[in-house]
Amino acid sequence: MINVILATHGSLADALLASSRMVYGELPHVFPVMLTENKGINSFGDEFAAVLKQASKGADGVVVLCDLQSGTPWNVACHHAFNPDTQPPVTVLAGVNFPMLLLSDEIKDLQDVEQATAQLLANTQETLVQATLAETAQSDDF
Amino acid sequence: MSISFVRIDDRVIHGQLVTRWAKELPCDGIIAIDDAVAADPLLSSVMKGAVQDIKVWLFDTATAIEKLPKIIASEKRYFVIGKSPVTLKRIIEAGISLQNSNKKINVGPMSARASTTTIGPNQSVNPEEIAAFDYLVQHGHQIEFRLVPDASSYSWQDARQKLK
Repeated sequence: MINVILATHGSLADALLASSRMVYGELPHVFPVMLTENKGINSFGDEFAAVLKQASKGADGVVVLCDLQSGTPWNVACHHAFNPDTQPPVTVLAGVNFPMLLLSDEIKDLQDVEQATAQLLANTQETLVQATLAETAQSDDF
Repeated sequence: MSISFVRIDDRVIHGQLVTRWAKELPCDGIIAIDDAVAADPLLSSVMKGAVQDIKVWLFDTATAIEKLPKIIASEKRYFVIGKSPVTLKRIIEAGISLQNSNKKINVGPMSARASTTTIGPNQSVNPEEIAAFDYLVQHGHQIEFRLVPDASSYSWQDARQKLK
């Protein structure tokens, strides 16, 4: 199974999880970790390592969803992801949004973290859309 | 038996939720039933556009009662989504069976409103809906409150305990 770490600047991770509870209920495979102004970067690194340890338990891989490429959560996550000793394997995505978090529920039963990450990214890209109107005429062809 | 899934959801068609259920259960088309949505062409069009790759029909309750026999007789498999248990009660009262291959009525989000009691995460019911759920149970339906397929669930009997 694949677990997910939600790593963000400020309270975005907790807020996304609170919003997801409205739509999907609990997402027990998701572990939030947040960089806060008062705790700083070093403390975030320690917290991230502790959360990663927790998320790694019994998992075939861990996907880290970061809010922003090259931010501190991203840098810390990449440090773990590209360390050859990291077990289970860790992948990192940037640009987490609400659909991506919800869609992570659909890849949690996979085993290959690379495949799971590629699928999650592809599925999320389809959710970035402009609203258009659908046809209103309805056929009787059931 | 061509109804593969029956759901109550106060958003009627919520794109990402419908897609999630359609991955778990067979679905060739979606029949969504709500008087207010069906009467609003703009809202209907927006809601139908929220689901890709699956055909969606939106009906008011009276039209649904007229069309459902043909839908049930079809070889294809349909999801039936009502905005409220009151809608489904009216359909059963009209003599239409909502028995389905999922063997239960699933309940998703029902928002808190005036005079509702909360029975679960994002699930609240008012007295009219309580009576409608009682009616559905009396007519042989198992009611399961479950937001998405592998989320935790509880039954109407469980919810009833909290209302006493």
